[in-house]
Amino acid sequence: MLRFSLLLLLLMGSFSWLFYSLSRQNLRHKVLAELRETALEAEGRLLGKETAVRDGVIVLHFPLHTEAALIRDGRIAARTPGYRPEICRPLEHSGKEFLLQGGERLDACYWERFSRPFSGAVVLQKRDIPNESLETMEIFAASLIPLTLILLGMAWRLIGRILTPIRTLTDSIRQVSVDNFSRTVPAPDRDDEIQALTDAYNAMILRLREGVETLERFNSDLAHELRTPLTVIRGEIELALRRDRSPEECRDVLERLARETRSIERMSEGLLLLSRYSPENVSESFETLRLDRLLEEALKKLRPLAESHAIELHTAIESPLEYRGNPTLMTALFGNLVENAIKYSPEETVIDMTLERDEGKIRFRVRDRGPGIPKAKLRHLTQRFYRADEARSRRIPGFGLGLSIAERAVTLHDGKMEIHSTEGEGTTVEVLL
Amino acid sequence: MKILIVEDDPAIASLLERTLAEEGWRSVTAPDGEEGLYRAEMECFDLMILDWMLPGISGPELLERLRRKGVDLPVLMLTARGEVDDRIEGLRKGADDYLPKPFSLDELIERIRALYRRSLGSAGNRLEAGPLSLDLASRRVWLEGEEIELKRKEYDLLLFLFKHRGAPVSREMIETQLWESETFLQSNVIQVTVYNLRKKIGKERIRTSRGMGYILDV
Repeated sequence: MLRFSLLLLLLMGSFSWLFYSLSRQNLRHKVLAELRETALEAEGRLLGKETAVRDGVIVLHFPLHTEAALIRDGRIAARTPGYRPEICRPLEHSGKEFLLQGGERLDACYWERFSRPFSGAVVLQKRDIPNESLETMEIFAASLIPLTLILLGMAWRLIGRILTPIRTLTDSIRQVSVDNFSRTVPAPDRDDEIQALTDAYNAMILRLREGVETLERFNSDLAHELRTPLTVIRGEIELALRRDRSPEECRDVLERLARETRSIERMSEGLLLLSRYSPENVSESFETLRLDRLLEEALKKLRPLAESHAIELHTAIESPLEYRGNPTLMTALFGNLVENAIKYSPEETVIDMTLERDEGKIRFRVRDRGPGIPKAKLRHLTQRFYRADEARSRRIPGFGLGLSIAERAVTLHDGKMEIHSTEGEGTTVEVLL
Repeated sequence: MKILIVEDDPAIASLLERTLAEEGWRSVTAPDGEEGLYRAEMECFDLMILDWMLPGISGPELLERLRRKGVDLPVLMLTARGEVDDRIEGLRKGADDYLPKPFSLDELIERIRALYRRSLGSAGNRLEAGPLSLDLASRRVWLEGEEIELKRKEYDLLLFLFKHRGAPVSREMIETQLWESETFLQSNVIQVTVYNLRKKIGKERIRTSRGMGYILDV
């Protein structure tokens, strides 16, 4: 930054110097040419017979306050009345000379030696050369340097104003790690790009923090969910090993172990399904599916469960129904939604299902007559491991992954899932693909 | 010993019940916080095993309410939350001990035993009461240095009387402590057990307080 401003200073300085000297040079030439013309005219007049000479003084008036003298053999042969020899002594000059004197009256002295038609010189004293423009030029050129400095200062301040928040942002970005999402940057109180950047950064941090928190919650939930089957498995084994057991007792223990192992297995399958596909890679796995057949297959597996709860499944399935999607996810979607409906339905009730095409979209709707879900809990339903009804949760098997998986499946197919529920009347889940 | 298990997971509750039963301890399971709180207040237990995550009233909340009501039952908390802060919170709310899931059954049993003997006022497994001494770990009893053979119910009765020594223990208390509430009891089964125990440790050591119950007098 310092290097940059020094360079800029140097550049602007040399530019103004160049500009100054060029214009000065130019002006000098202009003035010189003008003076020379005047001098030639003065010479003509001084030599002319028509002018009255009184005591060697030519009564002669030049316009523009120009005084002139004719020098011959080192002496003033003729001069205009206002000529002041003390200001510009001819002998001191050898050749063309051009003086600038910031005096009150005399502005320039011009001395030109003539070899023809006589040896001598004409000295012009001129008070009204276009000095003003020269001075203006000088002032202008001279003022370029402080102007540059001022500009640089302003640029410095401006850059500072831009850089300070960027530096703050940089510092705070450096401090961000997965374990430390506490920091957002205080937004500068002005309406500009920096504020927009800070806002965008803060918003990003908040989103990331949310993501990390979800992940952390998920991890701790997972650890917690795993502990229950692990406790049972370890306990059952230890208990069985405490003494000799009969074959029947051993069989009981092994059955309990198998049950817990299966539950861990189901949990890991569910989690795998949740993480295997992402919006970026899911479309690669899409193929043309017969949704009606997928649903029928899922229902075939769930019918025994429904029968054991004396629940009737009423279906209205449009056939054939083709759709491009991922078969695993669609199967999981159907399976989880129907299984949930069965698990949370009271015995001897009916579950209605429709699968149809409606205005180019596919609609799948499951309606149960279960206890319904309180409004406050609807929002959390699709969170992993969330179970709305704590009191019955442990008696109804599951981990609270079903709806997460269903929602993920729908999102990955760019669809929409809505859950409507009235307490005491039942719950309707509607999926639009 | 009679233990209240407050645990909502049926698999874990069943495991605990069977483990305690093999140690010769009786247990009652409450599947949620409300029932746990109700039973802990209404019934007489020697110890409570309390799960942290419960539907309804959570473990720590139950504990807090219980302690506020002045129930000083020893409580062993079980939880899947292993963080130090959680353990501290549990202990602060009035738990006597804390065991993270998954736990070793042997450790659970020894912790229960340790809590129990502490509640009986003893640091070791050996309880001394005059000429009587009991070993909690092996369930053996000595009278003036001579080992005596006690049946299971007799031992439980002796331990129960020992716990309340100096104060009368009613028949109802003995009934709920030693037998399942659903079991149909022969009317004189308690008297028979008391009679048998008296025969083995000396008739004068169990006094009958009329209208109040039995007192261990050692």
